[in-house]
Amino acid sequence: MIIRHPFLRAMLIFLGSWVVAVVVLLGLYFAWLRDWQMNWGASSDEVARVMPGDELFDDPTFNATRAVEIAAPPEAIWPWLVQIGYKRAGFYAFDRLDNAGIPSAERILPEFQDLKVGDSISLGGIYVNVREMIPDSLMLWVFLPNEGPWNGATWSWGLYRVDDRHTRLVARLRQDYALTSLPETIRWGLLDATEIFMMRTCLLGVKHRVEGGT
Amino acid sequence: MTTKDSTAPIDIRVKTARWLFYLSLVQVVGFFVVPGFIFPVKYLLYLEILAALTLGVFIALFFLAVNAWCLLIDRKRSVLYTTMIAISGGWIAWAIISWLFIEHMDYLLK
Repeated sequence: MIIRHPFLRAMLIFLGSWVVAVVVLLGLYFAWLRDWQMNWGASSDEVARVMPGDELFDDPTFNATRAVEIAAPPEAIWPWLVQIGYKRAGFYAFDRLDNAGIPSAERILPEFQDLKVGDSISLGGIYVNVREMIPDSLMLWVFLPNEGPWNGATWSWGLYRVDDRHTRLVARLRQDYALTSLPETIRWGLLDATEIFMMRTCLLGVKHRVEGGT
Repeated sequence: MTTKDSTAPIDIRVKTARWLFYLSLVQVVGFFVVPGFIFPVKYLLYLEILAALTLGVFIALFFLAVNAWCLLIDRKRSVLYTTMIAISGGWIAWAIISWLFIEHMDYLLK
């Protein structure tokens, strides 16, 4: 069948192009891009390394390990990590979205340095519980029960010294999807592909601040 | 004696290209206008910028591809298509640069 009406031909090309584009993009995402973004900046050793909280999920559908190298020792980075949180130091990312428009801290805040195991931190509407902590080294956050997709997820932080002046900051986020309905699946699909923007910006925000102050 | 018939297919291709251009232009405009009916004005500009740098990159790529195709087919409007290619190319370049150097992009972070 040959469509001779220019508008209908254009509409067919328009819709057909998007169908092809979405199929190609989904193919690329699951074949290559997802693995890359889930392990952004991390070496294969860092991805394979056991971190606190790993034991809570056997084989999570969302298993992200991201890392940056910071030109500073772990003890210079740690204070920036323990003060992270909504209306604390912020997330060093998109303040208008994740910190009620309050600019993320540009300095170490003494009032938020006494974080300890058992404390809860607000992420803006949802909370995490500090489950494990080894100062200047490791910290595990577990998401408290909530209605959102991160219910029960784990977020662990690790500082691994490279040499006297360099440290690898590793963040691992793990969750099992609950794909119980189409809206849930769509929500997870969007989160799966977009969470990297916040996490990557947060890690680079820590790096920028630590290196700016050393 | 084929003048009228032989030009007809070319005419349809040009008209199709132009309709495709209009459809993709509506898509670009809609991409920025529709959020205005959904999100509070307070966050609108910021959300628009973030949307332009994420999902919008695909819209820009699509628009660029359509204009490149139109440029090949419809030479009479080459200035329009070239301008749109430059705008969408700049949009894509802006997104790439923003994500590469996000920690320095204060207008996005504050």
